[in-house]
Amino acid sequence: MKLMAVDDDPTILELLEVALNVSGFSNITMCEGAYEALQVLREAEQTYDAFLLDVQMPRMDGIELCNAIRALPPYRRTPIIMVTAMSDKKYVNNAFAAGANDYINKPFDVLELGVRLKNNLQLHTACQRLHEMERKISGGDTTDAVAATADFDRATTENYLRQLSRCGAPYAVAGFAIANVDELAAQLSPKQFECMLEEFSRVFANQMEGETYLCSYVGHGTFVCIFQGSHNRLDHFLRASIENSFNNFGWRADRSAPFAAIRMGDVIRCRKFREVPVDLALNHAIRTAQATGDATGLTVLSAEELLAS
Amino acid sequence: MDVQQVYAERIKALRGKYLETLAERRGRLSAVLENLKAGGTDTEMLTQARFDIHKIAGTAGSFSFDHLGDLARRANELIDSSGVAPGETIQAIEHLLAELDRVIADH
Repeated sequence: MKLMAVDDDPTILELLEVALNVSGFSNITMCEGAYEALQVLREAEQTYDAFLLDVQMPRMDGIELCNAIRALPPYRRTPIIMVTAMSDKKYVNNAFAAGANDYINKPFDVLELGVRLKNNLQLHTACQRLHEMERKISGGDTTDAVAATADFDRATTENYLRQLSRCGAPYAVAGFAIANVDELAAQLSPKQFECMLEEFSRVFANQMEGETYLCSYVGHGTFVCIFQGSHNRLDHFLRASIENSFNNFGWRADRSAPFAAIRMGDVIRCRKFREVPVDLALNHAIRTAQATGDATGLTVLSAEELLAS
Repeated sequence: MDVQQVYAERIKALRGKYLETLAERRGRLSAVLENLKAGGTDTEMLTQARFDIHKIAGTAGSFSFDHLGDLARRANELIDSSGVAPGETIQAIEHLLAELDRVIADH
């Protein structure tokens, strides 16, 4: 495994090197700044498998660096872990918005660092393998085209939610599902299907302009949204508005594809640190969005109500 | 030895160098404190102070200087917050400097 750690503090680089060594990683490139890191990436003959980035650095900070790394084609999905003393939620939001997969606070625990890095690497490797298989198998399930990356996105969403909980910031969780995803998958090519999912993210971004949120694909035509601020916007009007815009977007330009029905699950409101287990909130949001039959979804639940349900 | 023991052993070897870094940061913070007390608003000095405090916050705990790390985080928060009275920031830096003196003297 080839890793890169970027921090302007030589002490942190030494600590990281020791911590990574004792966790079994020896091929580590240390950079004292973002520009140096980008230069190394441009000249590297072999790609890197993961990045550990500080947030606060002079000239170009770690969040800008994360964005710049994501813009490089070989690193669109490579694990990026922010290792930082900045625990304020604005840094957490910006880091995940820039494409970070995980966020570890300094001073870091050597065991936690090793475990989190290995988890991110294993998940990424598994996703890559699935993606490769999908490319080789023709005539497979269209949804496989993007399912491979869904687990990785879900893990990133969980990491974001955990970090947000640590900040003590209130948030709401809601799932959105394309109810007739199987019908669409049968009619669209893998490329069209992938394009459709990308356009859902774009429609969602347009509807939520000015809001702080993270929307991730979690598989089978379902997205989960972590939303900060008032949950009042997560309502039937938003669902209808997303559905309407989504069906007028490019993926359905020739109108030959079926109309996509968007379902929205329950909205879970959490107000404080560890009020509800992260996986419970996510699972409920996803399950209620994917529910079929007469269940209407979109009930606003407090953490207490979710725990009691 | 488990991972944490190996890590602790190897960190010990870095401690001396880290204490030297702390002494340098202490010198700069002391100058900033004097400037603040005299009513100074030297932006460059404050930026450097924020940088030094931030670095202490991120590293002290790794060398088992937990209290020093806590004080640095507190000072860091105050510097980052808007509307905090200068007196409060000065007090936080004073506490941090006192702890820095103690850590440097004890080791």
